[in-house]
Amino acid sequence: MLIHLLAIGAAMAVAQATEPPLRFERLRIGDVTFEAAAAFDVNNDGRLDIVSGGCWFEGPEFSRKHKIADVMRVEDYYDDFSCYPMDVNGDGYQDIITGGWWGGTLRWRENPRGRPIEWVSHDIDKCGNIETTRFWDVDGDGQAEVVPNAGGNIVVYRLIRGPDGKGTGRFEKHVIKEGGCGHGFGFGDVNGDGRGDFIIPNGWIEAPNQPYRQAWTLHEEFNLGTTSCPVLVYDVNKDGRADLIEGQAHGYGLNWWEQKTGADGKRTWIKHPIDPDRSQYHDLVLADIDNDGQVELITGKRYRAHLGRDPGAMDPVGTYYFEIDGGRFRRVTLDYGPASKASGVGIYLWVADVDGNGWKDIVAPGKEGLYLFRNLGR
Amino acid sequence: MINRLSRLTCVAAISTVTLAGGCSGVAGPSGVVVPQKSSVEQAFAALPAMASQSDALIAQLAGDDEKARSEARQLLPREGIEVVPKLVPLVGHEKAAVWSAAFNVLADFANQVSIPGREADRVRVAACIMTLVAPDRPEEVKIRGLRLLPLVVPEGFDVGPMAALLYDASLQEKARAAFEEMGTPEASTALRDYLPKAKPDFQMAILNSFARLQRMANVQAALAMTKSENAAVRAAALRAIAWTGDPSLLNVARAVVAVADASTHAEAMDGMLRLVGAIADRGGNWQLAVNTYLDILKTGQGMDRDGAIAGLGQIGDGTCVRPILDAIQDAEPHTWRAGIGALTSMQGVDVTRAIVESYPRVPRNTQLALVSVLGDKRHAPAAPILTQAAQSEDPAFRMAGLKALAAAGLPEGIDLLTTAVRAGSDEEKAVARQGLLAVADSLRAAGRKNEAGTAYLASFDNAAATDHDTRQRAIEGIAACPIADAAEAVKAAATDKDLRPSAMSALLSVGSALTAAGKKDAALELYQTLTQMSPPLEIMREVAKGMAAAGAKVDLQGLLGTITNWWVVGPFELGEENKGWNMRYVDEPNVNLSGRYMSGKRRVQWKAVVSEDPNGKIDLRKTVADGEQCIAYAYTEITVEKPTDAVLLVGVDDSEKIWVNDEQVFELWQARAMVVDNDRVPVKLKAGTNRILMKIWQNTMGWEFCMRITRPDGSPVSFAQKTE
Repeated sequence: MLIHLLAIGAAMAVAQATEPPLRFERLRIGDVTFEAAAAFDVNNDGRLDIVSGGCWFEGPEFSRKHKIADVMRVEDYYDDFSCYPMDVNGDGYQDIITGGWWGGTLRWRENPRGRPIEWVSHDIDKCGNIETTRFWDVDGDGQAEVVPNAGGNIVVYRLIRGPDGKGTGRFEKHVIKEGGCGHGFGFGDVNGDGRGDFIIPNGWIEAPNQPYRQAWTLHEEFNLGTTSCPVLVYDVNKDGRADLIEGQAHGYGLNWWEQKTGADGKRTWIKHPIDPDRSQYHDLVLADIDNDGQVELITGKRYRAHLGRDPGAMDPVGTYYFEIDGGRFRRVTLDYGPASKASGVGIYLWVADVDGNGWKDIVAPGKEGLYLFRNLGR
Repeated sequence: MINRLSRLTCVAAISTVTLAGGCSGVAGPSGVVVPQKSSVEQAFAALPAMASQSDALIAQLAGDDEKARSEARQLLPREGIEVVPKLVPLVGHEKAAVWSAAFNVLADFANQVSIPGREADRVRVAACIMTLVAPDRPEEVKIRGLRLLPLVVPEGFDVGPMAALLYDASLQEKARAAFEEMGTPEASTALRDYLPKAKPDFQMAILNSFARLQRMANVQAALAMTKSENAAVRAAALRAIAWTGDPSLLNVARAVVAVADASTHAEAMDGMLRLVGAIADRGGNWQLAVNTYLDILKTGQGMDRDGAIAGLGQIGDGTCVRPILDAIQDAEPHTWRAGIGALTSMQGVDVTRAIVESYPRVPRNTQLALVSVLGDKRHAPAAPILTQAAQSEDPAFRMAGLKALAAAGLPEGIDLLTTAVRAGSDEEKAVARQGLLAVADSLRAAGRKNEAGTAYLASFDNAAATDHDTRQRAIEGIAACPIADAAEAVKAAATDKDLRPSAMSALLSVGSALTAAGKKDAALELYQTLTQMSPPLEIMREVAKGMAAAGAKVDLQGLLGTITNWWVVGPFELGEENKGWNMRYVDEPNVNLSGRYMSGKRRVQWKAVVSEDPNGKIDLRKTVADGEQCIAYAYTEITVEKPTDAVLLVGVDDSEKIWVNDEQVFELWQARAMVVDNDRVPVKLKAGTNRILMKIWQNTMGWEFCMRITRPDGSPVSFAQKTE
């Protein structure tokens, strides 16, 4: 049943913190402008490095830059909308899963075991224009599968592992849904049955018992528009039902959708605006950034997502986290201003304790530059 | 030259002997170079004879001949730095012309050696010049030295002799300035070392230098001064660390402000605001910066709040709007102005929404100002307030609303601006008139062509007949953003000779819009109007296309003078050495349309063809033969009422001969593609029937032709064609 109501009086407020806000130190990393980033130990020296697009920066100073590969450039885009670490070939070094819109190809780049030479790229599949790729444990085996938002489909690429559990360099492909999947997707247990479901703009796709052998069921219960990648599945108001948090990737708005059960027992969704006046919320992450035991929503603007043609394209860019409190979202802004002075978060931001000080940091890529927001705590 | 050496120049020459190595230095304990005191007095005592060119120039510099001095001033910098030790003593010369010349030459050397690759020379020169500030030098020489040293002293060079001047009350300020200009780590160290010993006024001066130098090494020393007993020093110290943008210094800043007295509060707050601004600039702590500004706004007074408001104007978002509006309510005029300024500069649609939301609750004078602010935002959420203002009973609001609607470029403004143009006061009319165009231009730039066209139309319809500029801009705008409703307007514009060129474009494009709207008759009416204006060829061609699109049968002949009806025959052999070009295959220039001719082993005869092409093109490959290296003929007859000077505009692939009324008027032998109107052939048509014959050569590939007949001025000739 498709019912969604716009909640009246839903309010978003800036955190007038009872505690002082977290302090961050912002560092520009190199001069690259790729839109995806990750932080992981590239060379197995025990320190996290920062990877973005065609290069990686050696931690802990991030001043030494190493080339990974040439990445196709189209206008001010790069054909690289993820750089997710995965040891594909089981050699003990993290490789990268990547892919972009123009190449239409999901690929992995082979880590040369930390040596400062170019990485070899291997095609996984020509899956169509890739908006971005996400990594979820679709089958509940404790390992992340590769799921590109591409070609209007939901297709899962599962790394084939050997008896020792190590990657073999090969993937098996499982088609969940062909066609009709628009811009934006997510993954999480919507109905509380212990299995992760997919979210697409016009509904959620319920996981069967056997995710690769049985059909998944589409429930067209909402319309999220041109939504973010990912749509987060999270019980915002702690009522025991999974809600959705999504942003408009190419328009104004950040919203959460409250799952409710109607009098007739059917599921309904109520849309609550979180931030209706900022645009191009393309990526969202939930992480406990302030060590209070609760997750915060970390997000920001993808600068020039459509080269200035999106609504709000000329508005300032920003990086924020939102404290979540029973349905109320309180925005705390790290950066806000023109792209020449401030940072958004691109298409794939990364949250990790990069410097090991116990506080999670934010790696924010984008056409305005690659920035590290080092979290110094309070 | 040598015979004229004065004692002084000899002394200069002596300097060369006794300081053969120039001013040198020895390495001090830390490894940095420590300059040796030069034995200038000893040098003055001897009288050697040196005849080098540089010595001669130095002698000229120090001599009595101004012209020679000027020459030496120009030439000495070209000598090696070996002359520097000889110049240094002259900086102390009693004659101003001499010491200033020497000073300038030394400055040139200082600049020369301060480039990469000249490090060793730089040290040598610095060592020489440093001797000018030795303790035994007269004060004026030390001052001159302090002016030269910042130009040349490199990092790593001991500045001890300069540092000593910090202890000299008459020279310490100049020494400080020189250190600040020098900016080396050693300069900062010297200032830091003296800081605790200085009197408060000089401590402030040093701290101000730290603020400008922006070196991390100075921060701790400045931080210590934030606990000075002197309030002015504390404030200066805060300014000296503000540039760091270190959020951990906020509590220090708050403490300095809290204990500032009345005379130093402004300085302390200035430091605080600089720190917050630097925190914002450094990035990553926007919320902290904004919260701090908001705190100051809430608790501060007077100029404190102005500073906080200015800061929020730089970085604030929609959450800052309400606090600013609250702060400026009942505030002093300067604070109120600061608030309005801040709201004007803040970016983002959330700011606009917040202003719109707050608008009903603010005083009237603030509302009036906010109308302008909202106009500059150019965001749709502002439209209701702007339109409300533009319809206000209050003339001030009305005017503000009209101006704001013009600035906002929103389509909601079109009707109100139109009403104002018609019914407003003279001033309102003037604003609205310009406003309509501004809105139209803005919508056009945003790609909202229909709305732009509506605005341009309103502008044109309401412009005075004598307002040529507005009418011109409006018609040009309609041409670019055509709407069907503009038909009458463009027809009216067509009658205005001053608007002719723009009106033609507008007629064309509005015609297209009418056709797209299904109003084909109206479109054809516009095209008809256009043809009567004798437009240029390119427009006529577009008219032809437009008329065809509107479903009309296009009279190419009438519109363009295009000949569409021909008779053709061929192909005939070109033959060896192209002899066929001069063979009279059809007995030209005579033409018998019933004639039959041999083409190889076949008989061929004239056949009628009619072109449907917009240029009247005839494709001979299709109508005569699909061949190469051959010839065909094309013939037509046109009838004109009276003798007419005309021009045949011909395009041919490949080349042609042309006869008009049996007289050959043109011949060209050139392999080429067809270009419409390429060959221009003046002819005289007689009253009645005129016969036109073409002989057309085919080389390879394309084989085609087209012809128009116009008057010499380009307007089409009216003629009837033979059709059977």
